[in-house]
Amino acid sequence: MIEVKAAARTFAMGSSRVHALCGVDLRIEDGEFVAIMGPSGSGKSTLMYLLGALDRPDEGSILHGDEDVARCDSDGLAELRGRRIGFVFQMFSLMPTLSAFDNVELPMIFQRVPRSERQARVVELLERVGMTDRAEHLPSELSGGEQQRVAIARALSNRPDLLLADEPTGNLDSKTGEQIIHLLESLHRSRGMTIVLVTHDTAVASHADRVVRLWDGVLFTPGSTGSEEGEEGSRSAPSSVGLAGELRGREIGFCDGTGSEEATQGRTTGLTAGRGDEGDESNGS
Amino acid sequence: MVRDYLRLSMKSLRHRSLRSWLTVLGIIVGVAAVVALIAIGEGMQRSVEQQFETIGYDTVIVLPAPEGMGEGAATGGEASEGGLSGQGQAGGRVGGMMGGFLGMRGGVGEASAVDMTALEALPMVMRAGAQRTETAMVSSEGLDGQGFLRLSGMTPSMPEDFPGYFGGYVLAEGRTFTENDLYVVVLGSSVAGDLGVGVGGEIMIETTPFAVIGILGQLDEETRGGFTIGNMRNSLFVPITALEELYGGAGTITQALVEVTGETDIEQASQLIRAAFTQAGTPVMTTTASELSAQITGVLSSLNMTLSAIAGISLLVGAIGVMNTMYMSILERTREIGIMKAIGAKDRDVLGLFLIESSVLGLFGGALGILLGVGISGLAGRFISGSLNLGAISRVAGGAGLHPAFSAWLICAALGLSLLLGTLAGALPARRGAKLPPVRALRYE
Repeated sequence: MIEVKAAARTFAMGSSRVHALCGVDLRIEDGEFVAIMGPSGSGKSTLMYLLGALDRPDEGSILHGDEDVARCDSDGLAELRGRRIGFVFQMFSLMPTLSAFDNVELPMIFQRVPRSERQARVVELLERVGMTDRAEHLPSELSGGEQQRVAIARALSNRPDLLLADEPTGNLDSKTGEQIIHLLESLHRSRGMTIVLVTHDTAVASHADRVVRLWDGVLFTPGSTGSEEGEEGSRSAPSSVGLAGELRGREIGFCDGTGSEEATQGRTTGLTAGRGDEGDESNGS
Repeated sequence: MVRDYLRLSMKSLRHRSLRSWLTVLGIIVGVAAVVALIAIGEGMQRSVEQQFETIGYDTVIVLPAPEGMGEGAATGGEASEGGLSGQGQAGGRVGGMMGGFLGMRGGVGEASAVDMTALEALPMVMRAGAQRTETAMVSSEGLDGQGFLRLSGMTPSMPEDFPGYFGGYVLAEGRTFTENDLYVVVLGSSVAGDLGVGVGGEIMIETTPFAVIGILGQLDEETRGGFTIGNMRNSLFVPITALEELYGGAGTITQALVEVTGETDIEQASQLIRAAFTQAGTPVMTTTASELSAQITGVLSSLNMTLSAIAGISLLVGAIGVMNTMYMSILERTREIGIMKAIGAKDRDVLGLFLIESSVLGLFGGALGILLGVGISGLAGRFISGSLNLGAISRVAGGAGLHPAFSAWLICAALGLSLLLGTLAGALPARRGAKLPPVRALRYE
């Protein structure tokens, strides 16, 4: 089980501070397939980085079982990522100098898995994603869909608890994208893999058990009462925009917790706080 | 673990851009320069040592002091004008010594009288021989006009008594002279050809006819340079007494070679000879083969050190090139670093991978550099011994042919140094890459 409690993340952008996430609460059960949706700059990449232990929250906690991302040092985070999390990125996520086989093997090298075991697992995983006959090819010799299959095999190599997919279909044509989603879905169904999928494509998100939406760093769940998200979860998107509009000119974003800090800095507007993190997110397009 | 990293690094290196391989050129050229210079230097030293080895270390060389020293002292005094008089004296001594040494080889030194009888009478002296060099006007019937040639006068038994100093003195025809001969000459092979005479012929030295009694054999490259005589092919050898008749100056010599009795320490003998002559009021200068050897190898090794240091600078520049490449490469691969970290690489894993990569670059450059250095020094050695004539040092070295010496330590040191340089050059960039926060690395495009 993964539990996000009041996680906040703020970035310094020049002299101003940008609230990418404002006290997000989220609970992901084992075996769940959750899609995180939101427009560019909504903070979904930031949330994914926190879930993936690539980054630490400024406030709150991210619990993977009993391990808190907020309390790990950089080696601890690397260890957590290596053992518990598998990543599938939007693009360019394979090591360009390594073959498909070597790419799948790489995470196990970092985890000091013995060579014979590594190789057996690579064979098995490549077979699972249907890439056995392309094992010795370099990423540049593979199509986008094939690369993504290899990336999924690689993400599974250390038998993670959580598979994090950041726009896995973003660079694929719709047919190939669907195949990738089906592959993820089948992993979820047949193996009970916990999957968190970040996307802004509704069709892709519809495959998930549950969809959560991010808007300006705040999480809410449409269609559910969102008991675990509490007050903020019950906000609706349009009203958020309205609220942001109302807040224009004031120096506070949504983040009640950090608002006062922002006010004392007194440099930026609430609106830039919400939109500004576009510049900090890479998955804008 | 390291084997896995090495494998990954090699795969990465295989896909590196041409530019990064080009920067290895810096290391290659630097290592090649250092290796070539050291190998040539060692080769020179070794050939000097070999020369002295054949000469033997049991000889004291006695040089007449009064005029040679006087001149040297005058020059030294001038050079250190206003300085301490003691320094002037010392300078003169060294100057005279070198002048004498070069003189006996090149025929430009001042000859002067040394009492050979007194020398031979000293208790530690087993045998002694004297030599006097003059430049003479020589003509013959077979030669149009006349030539100035180097004339070597010597006591008759000298070549047999001091074979190390007369390596090329091997007669092809005729005989060498004895105590009873006076106006006779032994010709070097080239001179004999130039003069167009054979054994039984006659040549004119100055205005005196000399009978040709012997001709030396053709000498190969290895032995053409007799240590004291220079190029034996171009020399004329006459009894030292004939020179006294021609030029006057009874007892005048350019140098004397002294073999001491077996149990005598050579340096001690050298001092004793000096002391005895000083006491007699006719000071001489003495030197020994080991002193000369030390002088020459000393000059060579400081020359070597200087050249190697200069070559070392190019190696340093090469290392900076590798550092630059590593920085560029880390910038280019920022996203790869992000991905490696996302899939569980710790800082030290990334550090290790990049360090191994730059070490391999360094080692590779070193290995190629050594090969290139071997080639360069081989060519240079041939060139130096074939055509350069830079005076005593290269003549001594060239006399035996210059073979660059590649000792195992040189190869190992060059490999070790290039490995170290590669690692050091990679250290800072690798650290920087390793410290990159994964999120920032992943966002880099």
